[in-house]
Amino acid sequence: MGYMHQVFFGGKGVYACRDCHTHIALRSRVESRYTGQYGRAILFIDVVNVRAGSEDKRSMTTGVHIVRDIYCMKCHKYVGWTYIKAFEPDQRFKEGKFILERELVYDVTREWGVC
Amino acid sequence: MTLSLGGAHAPGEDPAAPAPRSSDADLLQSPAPGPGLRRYPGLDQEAPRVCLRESQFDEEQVVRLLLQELHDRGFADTFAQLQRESGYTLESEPIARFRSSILAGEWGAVEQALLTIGIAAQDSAKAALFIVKRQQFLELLEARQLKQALLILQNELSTLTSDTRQLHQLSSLLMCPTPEDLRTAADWDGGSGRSRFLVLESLQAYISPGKMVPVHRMETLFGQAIAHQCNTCRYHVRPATQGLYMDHTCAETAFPPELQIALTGHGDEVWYVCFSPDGRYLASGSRDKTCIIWDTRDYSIVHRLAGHDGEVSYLAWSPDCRLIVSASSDKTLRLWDVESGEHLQTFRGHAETVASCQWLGDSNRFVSGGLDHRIIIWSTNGNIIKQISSPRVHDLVVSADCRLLLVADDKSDIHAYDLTTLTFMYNLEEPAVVMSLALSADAQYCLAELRSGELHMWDLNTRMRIRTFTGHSQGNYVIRCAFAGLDDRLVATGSEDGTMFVWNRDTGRLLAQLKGHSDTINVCSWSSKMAALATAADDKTIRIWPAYHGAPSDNSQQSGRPRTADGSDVSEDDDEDDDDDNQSVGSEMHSASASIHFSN
Repeated sequence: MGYMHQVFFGGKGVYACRDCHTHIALRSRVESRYTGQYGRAILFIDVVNVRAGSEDKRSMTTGVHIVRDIYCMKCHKYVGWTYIKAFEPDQRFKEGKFILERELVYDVTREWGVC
Repeated sequence: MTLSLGGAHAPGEDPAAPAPRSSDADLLQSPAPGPGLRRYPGLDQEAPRVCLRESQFDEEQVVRLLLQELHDRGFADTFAQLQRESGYTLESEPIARFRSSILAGEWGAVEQALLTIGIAAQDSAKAALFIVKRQQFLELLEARQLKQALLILQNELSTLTSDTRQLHQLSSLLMCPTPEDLRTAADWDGGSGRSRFLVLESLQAYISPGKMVPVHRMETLFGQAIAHQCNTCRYHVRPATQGLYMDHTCAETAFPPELQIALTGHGDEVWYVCFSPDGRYLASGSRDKTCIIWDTRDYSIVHRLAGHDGEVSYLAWSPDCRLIVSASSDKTLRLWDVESGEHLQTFRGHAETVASCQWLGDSNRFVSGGLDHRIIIWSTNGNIIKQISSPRVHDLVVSADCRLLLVADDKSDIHAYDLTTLTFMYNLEEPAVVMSLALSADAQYCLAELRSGELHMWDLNTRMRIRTFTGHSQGNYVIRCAFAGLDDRLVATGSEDGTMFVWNRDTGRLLAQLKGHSDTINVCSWSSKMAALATAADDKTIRIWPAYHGAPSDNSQQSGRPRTADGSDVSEDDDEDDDDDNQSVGSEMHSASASIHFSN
């Protein structure tokens, strides 16, 4: 692991950890939005400032996937997960991408004006 | 009949008929006084001098340098004898008179001599005369003969130079009330001090070196030779103490891997380590929210500094080694006393992780930079002296003279500030985000570790990137680079595969890849006093790498094997043991004394 270099975004549309306001993702990197079994979720192409946990095989409404939970690098709170492998062919596009649970992050620029 | 000089013949030389050198003929026609031939007692004929060896250097130059050395060291008899025997003199009569007139302050004679000696270019003659007249002017002022001094200024100094700023400065010296004021204002140590000698030295630049040999020339040449040996030395971790008989060279392999010492004691990844300036202690900061101060003689734990609510990301020793400041992701800095391990102050003022901190020359003030767009100068009593808004600071370094502050921001630029006024000076642009910075002690070179896995070195005088070091692996984690070796001659950085890379700064050659750690190396620190590198890694250990056998940090003679801080021998996978150790050691944690809190 190590001392992670904290990334900051400028501009608008920055999603941050609700607890410690660490920047995690940009609105321009959103691929799609879902409402899954855990609530509203956003699929991002890439995220920053997160650490991934260990691999876990889960069955979700869309099928069986191998995922790793991701945690905010600062406060270590769970914020979502990333897809490592999808067993359904039509879900393969999610591999390597990240889900953030909508309740656990917030759009920092919309609520504060600037980040 | 020829005879050789001195006693034994040189090996291989035919004593019966050594060939006389062609320069013997020149000796006979030498213009200098004194015969070039030696009279041997008891011989009627004069025997030519036999030179034992051909030399690529001109004999006149070599002999005159020898004469200068003999003269400076006070060997008067040998000096006279060498002049007679060689036929060369150190200085001709006019030059010798010139030298003595300057040192005696006979300015009229000096002016005359300058004309006869002959200085080539017209403006050089003016510049030389200006130096002489300036000294005369200052000495007259010192003796309170203001009227004569003024005459010199008006009639002579003003015609000799077009530099009006200097003329104004000289005329302002007329106002000085006392000789002490004059001396401090003119940065001049008085007619009876070294100033006349300095005038002589500066005039040498205008006189051909053939006429007047530059002062202590042989010593200068020796110094250049030693400096060259040090510059071309591959590793340069040991000082050049071998004298003049042998060339200096550092050992074939620096940092022998068998000398490494592993220190355990932290419960989590170690994120920072640095030696104290006097080499007596080593301080480390960790993700386990504590710092440890180690004694470098036996690597025992002196103090465990607990109190931070977040991981410790940076440490800074005060110049007098009595205080240490730790910076943390809990947005505070804490000041600790090294002797007692006591927590002295908490500094609250940053709104985000404090990235880096450095002391400002004395042990009263230090500067910190955070990810919250703030650079703050603190006093050790807890007050904020100055605060500016800046780009987000990921790392900052301060020059030794406290004039320059370099800051790595989050947009791949390095910002340079004038530290005395905290004003922005210039930018150095990098192609990728800068993770960490290092500055050489002479503030000439700066290292920037990039996220792309390259280590860039900048020359701060020309503000150009002059070298790139690659080979180590780097990702999203901050790996701190450092200068190492004597005179910052080496560059060291860690790598994500647990090896430590060491390059020669000037040639760029990879000197060593030190293996020992099992996880990402976060930081490295060099101590000249201990002649060792210290590295800290994510495997919760710190390793000490002595630069050579017998270095002050090398204690392999005592135990014979690399060892840990508590004295047990190091084994390959320590991780379980470390956790147990820390459970018991944890009870020794010093409780923080009452700290002074601020309201923001």
